[in-house]
Amino acid sequence: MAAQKLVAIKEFCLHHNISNDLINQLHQYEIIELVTVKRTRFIAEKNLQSLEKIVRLYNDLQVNVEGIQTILHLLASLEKKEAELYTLRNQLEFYNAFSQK
Amino acid sequence: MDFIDYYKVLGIEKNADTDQIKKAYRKQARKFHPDINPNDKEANKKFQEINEANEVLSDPEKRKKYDRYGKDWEHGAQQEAYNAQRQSQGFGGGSQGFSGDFDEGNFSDFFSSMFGGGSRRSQAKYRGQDVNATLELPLSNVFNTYQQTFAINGKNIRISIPAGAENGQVIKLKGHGNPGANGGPNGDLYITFQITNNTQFKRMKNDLYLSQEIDLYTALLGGDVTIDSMHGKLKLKVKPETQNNTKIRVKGKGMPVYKSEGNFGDLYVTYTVKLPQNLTEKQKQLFTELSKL
Repeated sequence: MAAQKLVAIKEFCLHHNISNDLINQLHQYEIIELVTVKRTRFIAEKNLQSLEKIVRLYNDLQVNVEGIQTILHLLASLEKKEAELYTLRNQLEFYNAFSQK
Repeated sequence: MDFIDYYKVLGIEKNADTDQIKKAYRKQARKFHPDINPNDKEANKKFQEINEANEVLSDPEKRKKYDRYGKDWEHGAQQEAYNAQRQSQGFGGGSQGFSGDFDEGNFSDFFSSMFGGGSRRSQAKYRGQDVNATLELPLSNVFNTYQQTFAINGKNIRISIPAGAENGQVIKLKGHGNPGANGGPNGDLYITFQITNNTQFKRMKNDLYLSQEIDLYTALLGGDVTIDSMHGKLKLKVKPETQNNTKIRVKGKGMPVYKSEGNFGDLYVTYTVKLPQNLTEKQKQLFTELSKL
């Protein structure tokens, strides 16, 4: 298994000036994934950006955890739809190129 | 530089109190925040305007100045600058206003002209705007992993484009967008690949399609045909009595599968039979004989 870089939740909270409660709530709602090593909780570096985005939504926009969960779900679905759109657009170009031949 | 009606931007009356401004700001920010509207330039621009409006209207001093000069803000700003200069010369003191060395970040020309830059008192950290860029690449270049260097915000960035990238595909480079405000993190750079087809093939995901002419005799009697594939020259067998528009699949000779080293799509070749033209008398005679058999 490849080693993953971890950031301690305590450090993260200190840096972003947020409470541990928010992290607990996000974890309970299964919005974030935490890694526990010897009773210390960490977040994987690859998930850091996503957690920072959540903190911005919480602090800047005062969206509660339920709202964050909904937003993330909608953004993921939007991203999926955009990818589908690109694929379909490429397929359409492909068929157009053949039909013009 | 156009006058910006900050009250209109936030959708509030001119006599709105601090709470109403705050409420209106939050309402608009929720709609246009870059995290909620990824890759949406219009929303990002709107968010910048909202931020700017909030910056001015939530600060009593700035709001007073803005309200005082209104549409004549340009003249007002000049007058204030003149007054400040006089004061500074007269009493030898420094101006308390916003100095020009402040990073103006993403504020409009209007804001910068009137207030000299972003507020130093702002508490909120804002992530920089994401930057979207389009990178045009010929299809032949994405057959192998491709390195490209380009300049963004005065910095040269070298990126590696994995083989098999698709048209319209977006990659994200974290922290290479616009700088954040008030110590906030930088935005991200999103690069969209615009892949133009410079080959004889048609592409569908990882598969390639080619239309290959074969002569009548090869179609009837079978034989070999050599084609130029993305993998180099390929010798294909043509079965006897091959019909026009027969499609064959050449496994593993298509485009590389994105981020899956060693895996390739397939190549589909459609044989189009080309009938001979300008027949000699002898050929005509033989075809006639054939037709009577």
